[in-house]
Amino acid sequence: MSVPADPHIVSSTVTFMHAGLLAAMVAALAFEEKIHAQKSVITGVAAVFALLLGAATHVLPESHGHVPFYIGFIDWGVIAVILGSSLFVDTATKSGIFSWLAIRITKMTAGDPLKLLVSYGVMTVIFSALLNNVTAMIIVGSLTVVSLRKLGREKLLLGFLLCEGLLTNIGGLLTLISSVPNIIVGNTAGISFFKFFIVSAPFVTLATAVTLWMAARLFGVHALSGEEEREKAAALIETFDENDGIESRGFFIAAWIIFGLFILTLATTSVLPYIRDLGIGFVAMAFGVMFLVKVKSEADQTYRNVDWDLLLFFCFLFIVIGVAEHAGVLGVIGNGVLKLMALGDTAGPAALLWASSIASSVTDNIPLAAVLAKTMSGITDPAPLTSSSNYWWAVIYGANLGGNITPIGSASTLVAVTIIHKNKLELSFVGFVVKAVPFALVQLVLATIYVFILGKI
Amino acid sequence: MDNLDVFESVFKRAVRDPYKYARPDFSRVLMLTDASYSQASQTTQEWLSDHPLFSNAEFQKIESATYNQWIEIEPTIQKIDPSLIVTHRLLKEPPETSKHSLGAYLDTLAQATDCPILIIPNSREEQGSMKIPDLKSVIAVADHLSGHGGLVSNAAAFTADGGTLTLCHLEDEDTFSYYMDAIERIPEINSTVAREKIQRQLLAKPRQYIETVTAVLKTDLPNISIDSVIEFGHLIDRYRQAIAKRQAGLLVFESKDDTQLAMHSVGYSLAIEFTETPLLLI
Repeated sequence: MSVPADPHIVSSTVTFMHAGLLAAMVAALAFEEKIHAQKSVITGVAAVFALLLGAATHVLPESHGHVPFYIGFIDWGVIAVILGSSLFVDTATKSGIFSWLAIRITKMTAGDPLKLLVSYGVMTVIFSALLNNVTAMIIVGSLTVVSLRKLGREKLLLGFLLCEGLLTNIGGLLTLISSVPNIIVGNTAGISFFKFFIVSAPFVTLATAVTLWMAARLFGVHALSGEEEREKAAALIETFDENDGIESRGFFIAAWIIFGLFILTLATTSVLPYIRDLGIGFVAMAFGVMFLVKVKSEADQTYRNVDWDLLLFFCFLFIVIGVAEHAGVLGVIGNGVLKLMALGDTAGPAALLWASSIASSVTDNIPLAAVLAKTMSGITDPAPLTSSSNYWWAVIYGANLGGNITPIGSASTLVAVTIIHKNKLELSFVGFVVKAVPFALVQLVLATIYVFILGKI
Repeated sequence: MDNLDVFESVFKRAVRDPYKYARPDFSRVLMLTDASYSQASQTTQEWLSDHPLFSNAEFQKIESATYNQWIEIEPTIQKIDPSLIVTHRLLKEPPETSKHSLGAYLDTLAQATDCPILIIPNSREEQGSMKIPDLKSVIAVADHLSGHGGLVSNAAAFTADGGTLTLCHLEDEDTFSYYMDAIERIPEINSTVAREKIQRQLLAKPRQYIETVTAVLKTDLPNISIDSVIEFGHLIDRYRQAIAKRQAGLLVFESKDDTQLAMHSVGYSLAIEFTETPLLLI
C-alpha cells in the first residue's frame, strides 16, 4: 500500500519545517487554556505562517481564476454542516423544545436518583447525537445541577456530570452530524447519514448501558427504597414546570415539526432526489434558514450566537492542512498510517483506533480527524479505501472516545469540567483522569472488538 | 459559556415553589391585655370562640395587674407555650403615646415569641369597645410572597366562607430605580432590555406562586376566592390603596425571620400605619 506521489518534488527539509509548524499548532491547541488563546486565533496564526512558509519554499499551487488557491483548501461541505446546524440548534433551542423535553423526562423519573442517572444519560446520548455534544452537555448538565439541588442530592452531582461528559462522546458516535470528526471522516469516506446510524447504533447502545452501569456502581447512585422518600422526591420534582420556557406555543409546535423533518431529511438524504446531489451541508443550511424565518426580525441575535470561533478555526485549519499536504507532511503521516495498516486486518484497525484515541486525548480531535481523513483518502495502493472499510470507523471511534481519557480531550468534557468547577466541586486534571480512565478503557476495548466485527461483516 | 448560563436560567426559572395548605393549629390561645383593654379582650375571646378555627381552643389570659415589665410575663408565656397570642397595641403605655406605634410590649413579643400574634384594634378612649373584624376580605402581604406557605395558609384559614383572600406582592419602585441607576452606568449592559427583563422576572415568580396557591386552595378551601395584587410601586401607598379598595378585615404579614429583619421592612410600616385594621403577624 502507498500514498500517491506528490507532483512536486519537496525536499525533506521543507517537509520537516512544515511538519514542525503543524506540530506547534497542535501543541498550542492542546494548551489552548494555558495560553489564553481561542482556537481560531491559534489556527489563524498557523495558517498565516504556513502560507508564508509555503510561498517561501515554493510548494504552493497557483491560483486559478479569481479565487485564491488557499480558499480551495477549505472543505466547504463541513463548514456548511456546522454553520447550518449552529443556526438550526440555536433557534430550535429558543423555541423551548429541548428544555421542555428535558423537564418532562425529569418528571417521569419522580426524582429517583438511579432513574435520573439513566434518563439523563440516555438524554445526553440522544441530544449529542441529534444536536452536538457541547450543546447536549450544556442542556443536560444545567438541568442536572438544578434538579439535584432541588432534591438535596448535591453529593451525586460530580458523578452525574462526569458520567454525562463521558456519554457525550458516546452519543457523538451515533450519527454523521453528532461530532465534527464524524462529519469530516464521514464526508471524506462517503458514508451516508443512514448508514452511519445503522453501523453505530448497536455500539452506542451497548457502550451507553455499560457506562451507566459503571457510573451507578462507582459513584454510589442507588434507587430510593422507602415509600416516604419516594413521595418526597416526587413532590419536589413535580414543582418543575416544563411549559415555563415556551414563549410561543405556535413556535414550539413549529419547532417540533421542523426538527422532525430535519432528522427525517438527514436520514434520507442519500435517497432523496436533488437533495442527495446537494448533500447534508445543504440540508443543515436549508433547515437553519427555515428556522431563521421564524425569528426573521431578530435574526441578527441568532448570528451573534453562531460559534464563529469554531467556523474560523475550521477555515484556518483546512488551509494549514492544505499547505501541509503540498509540503509532503501528509505523505509522511500517511506512511505512518500505512505501517499501522500493514499490521493486518485485525491488528491494523485496532492499532489505528488506539493511536487515534491516545492522540485525541491530549489534543483536539478535529485536526487529528482532518489530517487522517485527508491522508487516508489519498491511499490508492492496493486500492482506495471504500466507505465500508473499518479503518474509517477505527479513526471515528478512536478520535471520539479518546476525548474521554482527559478533560481536554473533547470540547464537551471540557464543558462538563467547567460546570463541575462552576458548582464549586473539586476535580483536578489528574482527578478527572483517575475517574475517567476506567470508563475510557472499557469503552475503547468494546470499540476495538466492535471495529474488528465490522471488518468481518 | 453564555449558553450554559442561558440553560441554567431556563431550568431555574422552571422550578416553582410548591404550596401545601396547612390548617393552623390554634389550640392554646393567650389573651394578653392591660386595664384599658380588659373588656375588649373579653369581647375578642367571645368572637374568636365562635370561629371554626378556635372550636377546640383553650383560652388563657394574662391580666394587667399581673405584670409591669416584660421579664415578668416572659416565663408565663413560655410556660403556656401559646399557639396564638391575641393582644392590643400600646399595652401599658401612657395615654399620650402616639397611636402610630406598637408599643414596647408588642415590639418585644413580635421578636421574642414564635407563635402568630393577632392584634385587635380598638380605641383606648372608648373603653371596652371592639370592632368585630369582617373576615370576608383578608389580605396577605409579603416582601417576597413566593414560598411563604405559612403566611398564605394562615390568611386563608381566617378568610370567611364566601370571602376573598387577596395575596399581595409589591416590588418597591424606589429600590428598583436605585439598582437600575447603577445598571444604567454599566456600558456592557443594555439597560432598556435589563429593565424590561428584570421587571418581568421579578413579577413572574410571585405570579407563578399565586397560580399554584390558587390551584391548591380551590381544592382545600373551595368556599373562598383568591385575588392578587402583583405590581411595582411605592409600597405603603399601594398597600394603602389595596386595603382601602378591598375594605380588608384582616391584614396578615410576616414579622419573624432568622435575621430578625421582618419587622423592620414593610411589615412594621404597615403595622404602625394601619391602626384601625386587625393584624395577624406570622
